[in-house]
Amino acid sequence: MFYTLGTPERLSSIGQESIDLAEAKSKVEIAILDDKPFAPRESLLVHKFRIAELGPDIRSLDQISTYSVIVSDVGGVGKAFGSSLEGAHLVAEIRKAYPDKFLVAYTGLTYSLPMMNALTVADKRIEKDASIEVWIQTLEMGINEVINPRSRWIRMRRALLEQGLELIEVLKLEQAFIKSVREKRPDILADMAKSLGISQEAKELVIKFSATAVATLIGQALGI
Amino acid sequence: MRYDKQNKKLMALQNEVERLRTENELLKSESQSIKEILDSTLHEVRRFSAQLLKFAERLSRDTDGQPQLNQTAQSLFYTAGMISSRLAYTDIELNPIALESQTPIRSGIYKKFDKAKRILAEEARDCNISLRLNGESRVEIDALPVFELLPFVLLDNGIKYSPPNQTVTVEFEVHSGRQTVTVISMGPAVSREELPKLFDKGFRGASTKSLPGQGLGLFLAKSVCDFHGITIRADCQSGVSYQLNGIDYAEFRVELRF
Repeated sequence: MFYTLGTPERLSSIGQESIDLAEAKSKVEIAILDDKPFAPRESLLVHKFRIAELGPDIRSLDQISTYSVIVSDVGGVGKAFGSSLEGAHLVAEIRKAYPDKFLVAYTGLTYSLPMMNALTVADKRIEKDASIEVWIQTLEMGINEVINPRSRWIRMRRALLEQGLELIEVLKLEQAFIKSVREKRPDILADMAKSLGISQEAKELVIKFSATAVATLIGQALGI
Repeated sequence: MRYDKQNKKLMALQNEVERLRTENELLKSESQSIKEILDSTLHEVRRFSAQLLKFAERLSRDTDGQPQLNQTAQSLFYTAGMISSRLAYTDIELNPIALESQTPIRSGIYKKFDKAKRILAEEARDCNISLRLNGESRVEIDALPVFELLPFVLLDNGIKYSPPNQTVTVEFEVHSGRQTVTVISMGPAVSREELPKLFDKGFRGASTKSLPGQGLGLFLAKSVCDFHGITIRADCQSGVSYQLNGIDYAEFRVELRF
């Protein structure tokens, strides 16, 4: 079989602009999932982070769809999902639905191997009483990651390949993504996903990504 | 007749196996319940520690224009941070893999010793000991949360083992391009034979036997150095400087090479 590739755009052609961290901090709101008030909140606000405490009662993943950086406690969170692993299960579910988001899980049980294994899908696992320096470094890392469309797509691409998509399908989606970002139109990527003969699960993943991540990235670029 | 003897032996062994099995089950359930206690304790202590850090930091900010109060607030904040560092060390003791998930932070060595000095300032004053940092260092390393324990333990040991009216000095120097930090204090004399064992868990020199302590400080310091690739070496001046309460004292040095 022959494929006509045309002249594909390089992914490195987007997301190369230098990002001012202060500006990025003002654009990215961080979601906190905890059954208790989030202790480092005050210090993080002093350091100009935007924090939204959503509480522990997340009933549907749609509630966090607009947040690119999500910080979750492990105990007492996400009980509605019915797993004894509580927050660890919730983090795993978020990762499945939104592979591009930057997830931070924190717990008092950082020594526990089963707990750490349950949290491997999180980008960072930190102690409940981590120093403010650790929080700042972790959240800045997360913001840098999610504000860059290129890094965001690389996360998504990894998830698509893990789902068994063919390289040619991923390439087509990548080209549509680049066009979406360039032309500030999330529908280009969603339409491409709908037109490809990929699994329904993969389709939904990409459509969700274009409606949340791509729309947010475009909104941020437009200063909305 | 011989079969009877064998059967009896077999039965006794079976009983023993049964007894061991029951004991094993008991130990398993005991270990599970200890694990549950440990889990909930660690979880709660970490929660309180996070709260304490929050309040101490707020106090430190709110007392910005009041130097004396602010110093106390800062000491409180740093001390709260020590709880967190100690728990990070507990994590590694319980499960060495925990080391991999700790986040290193770029930190100045001098600043870390200064922090430990502030935490221990009052204790030193109570023991009539002066703490002094000599020289300077702008060297930074990628420090894990457990790093805080290293300067704290070394200064704490210096205070604990010094006789009154002495000084614990921390010298910052650069030797052959490497940052060296030496903690110098008067302490109970350590023989040449004892020196290599000083970093062993629970080891206590002959002259410190009558003094309080568990022989954990230098062991812990060595572990923290190992996590960070720092060379640690202890030395004691040969000969005795003086005797006090039946204890021989001599100059004691712990050298760190970064």
